[in-house]
Amino acid sequence: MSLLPFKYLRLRRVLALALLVALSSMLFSTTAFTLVGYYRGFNIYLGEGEDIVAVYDRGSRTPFTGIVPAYLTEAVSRLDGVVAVSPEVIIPCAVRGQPAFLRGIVPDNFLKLNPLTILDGRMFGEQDLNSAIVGVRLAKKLNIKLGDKVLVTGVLVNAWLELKVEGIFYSNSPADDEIVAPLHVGQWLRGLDYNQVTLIRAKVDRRLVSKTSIYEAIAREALEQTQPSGGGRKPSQPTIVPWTRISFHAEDIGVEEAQRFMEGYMERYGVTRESIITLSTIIFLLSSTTIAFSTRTLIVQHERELEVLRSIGSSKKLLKKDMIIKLLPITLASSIAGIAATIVFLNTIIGQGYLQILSHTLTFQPDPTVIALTIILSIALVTASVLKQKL
Amino acid sequence: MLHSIRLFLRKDITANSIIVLALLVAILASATSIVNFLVFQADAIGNLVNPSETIIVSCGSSLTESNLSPKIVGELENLSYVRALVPQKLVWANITGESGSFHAIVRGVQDVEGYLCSYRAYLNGSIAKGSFEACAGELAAKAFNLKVGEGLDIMYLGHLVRVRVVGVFRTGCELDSELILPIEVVKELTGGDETISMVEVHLKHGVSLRDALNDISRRLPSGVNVFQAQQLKAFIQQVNLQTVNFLNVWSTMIYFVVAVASYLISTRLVEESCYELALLKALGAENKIILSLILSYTCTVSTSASILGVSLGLAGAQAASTALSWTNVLAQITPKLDPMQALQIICLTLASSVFGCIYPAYKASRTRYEEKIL
Repeated sequence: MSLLPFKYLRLRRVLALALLVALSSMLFSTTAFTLVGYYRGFNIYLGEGEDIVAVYDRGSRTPFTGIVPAYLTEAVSRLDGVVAVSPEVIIPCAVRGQPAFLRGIVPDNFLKLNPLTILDGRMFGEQDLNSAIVGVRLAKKLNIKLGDKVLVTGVLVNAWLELKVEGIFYSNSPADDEIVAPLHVGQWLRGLDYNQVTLIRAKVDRRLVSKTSIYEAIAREALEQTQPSGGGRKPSQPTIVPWTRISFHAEDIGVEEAQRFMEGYMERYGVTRESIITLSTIIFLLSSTTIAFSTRTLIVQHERELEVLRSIGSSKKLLKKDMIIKLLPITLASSIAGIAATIVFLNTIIGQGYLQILSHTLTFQPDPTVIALTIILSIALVTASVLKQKL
Repeated sequence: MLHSIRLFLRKDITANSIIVLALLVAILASATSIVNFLVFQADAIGNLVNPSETIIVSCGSSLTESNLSPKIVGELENLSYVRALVPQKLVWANITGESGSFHAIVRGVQDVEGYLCSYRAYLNGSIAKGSFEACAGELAAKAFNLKVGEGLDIMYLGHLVRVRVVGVFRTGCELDSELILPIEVVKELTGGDETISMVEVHLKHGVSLRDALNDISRRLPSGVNVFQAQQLKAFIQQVNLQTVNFLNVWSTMIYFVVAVASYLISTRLVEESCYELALLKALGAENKIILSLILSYTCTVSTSASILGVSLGLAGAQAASTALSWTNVLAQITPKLDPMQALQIICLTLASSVFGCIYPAYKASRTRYEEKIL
């Protein structure tokens, strides 16, 4: 016996269930998309892929507070297989009174690692001592235009300075929410000496050089500085003030793939992609008790129709099977609608600049795992809810 | 008549409804408690750093375009909590030296020596004292090949001043990219403009920065910007606000689910209580009494659920953080929820529930039960 021709489920009553499935899917996908987006954005902050390596301060608890001798840039760049090296100071600051991050860089070195598209103006040059280029999202947020003079105040140290905006850039990366200035500006705002930077990034050819060989070169530099013959080499001068050798311990310096380096910071606090998806799933399961409740309500609302069907010979099993078949397309459609609504909703609020974490706009990409999990969980929940009902 | 609510409360649906809503509230309470912890941690980090005792007074969006009346110095110099005042005039000027022309910031201060000393400057040469002397920052000197003894033509909006570099200094801060001159020379460069760009206000040790900021802001005319030189607290507050905004957007979605859940609860209540509702009508209950009964039931359920949910959420977050601390020593999370936040969650849950149940309650109150099959 087939119950498919019997249209006993009233659409209006099913709508409540559909709405709940859509809302639960929205809740799950919003949580997962945003948190995974934040996690991914943070991880690729310094560069994506295994060919970008970071030389960092092991003792630092955040990627923004380490101190590394700047002259190691030269030591790293001398190695075969190192394509480009960029010493950087990344520092929180206030631009026009609003929180932002500033990257102090050496333009030629930085551009080899992070190609930027200058939308308006130009990149600052060596003689532009008090200049900066501003990321397109930050420029829009703070209404900064080419030629503007912006007041930047320090967060970690007592500093205030004026920078002339030489360009507006686009990078399709978190740098779009930042201001990029000469290395010495970052050093002023971090309170560092001209011989120190927050970290050094290098682009490497992994066939020729490994992170171990980079670390070994750094360790040799640490030893050499105690030997009088070490000062023989004359470094080239990518900055106005030439770097000088400063004392450091090799064990304080770490070398890691940039992405892995950032992941490491998150993992220290128990944040991984898996933990984020697990958290989102728990939220979905907690909110999905409403789905079970809704299924029960649907059956209560159709009690009479179900009794009629039972009286004409339908078994409980058949009824449940038929309900599942009829509810599945609705569940699937609701779940997809919930995901679609999430994507529209997040795109809208992100476009308006509402969703920011650490002054960086949340960028999210619809994660296939999250989408699949949302649909599977929704269908599984509705099916399980129908199966456990007493008819 | 409202005592009839017991008829509904005794039903099985009540326990289920409370659990459904409580779990939703638990999600909110736990998320809020963890965000509170993060905000608290950020504030604690902010308190670790001693705020600087420097306040900047300027106007406009940049220092070089700021024009303050020199009378402001008079307003500030007699304040008991002020240790020192440094009025300054800053301009972007075109400078021509032996190696060519460049564009740089020229800063005028009254006492060049005292100013450079306050920044613990290393100086090569001597201090600019006379009207035709300037000190160059190390970065400016290196970038533009300036030497001690070199003559410079400084041009600003058609006005020309000729000075000689008498010293090159290093401070390790923004001054290193500038030329520093006596303020009178910079005023002459701007065509005798007596206005100043900014005043650095150094407070006496132990003075409350916030009180000083408020007091100075109150004394000065509107349009004058008074801000702290080191904006750690403001930065942390604004970053925290971004996190809280995220939580608010997310919470709104949960309240939507609460409203829909409440709609379902009241719909099912009405379906399962046809007999009781018909009986009440037969006994003379008016429509508004039925409406009030269903609303009261929803309020009772949602209030109980939200109290239970807040407790569950806090307990769950605490349990999860304890479990996390066993596996990861760095992840020491202490969830916390303020009483006002708990009250806010309870009130918003109640409001969402009432919103969700209005339609089924209204419909139930209008139904003619004598025509309905019981």
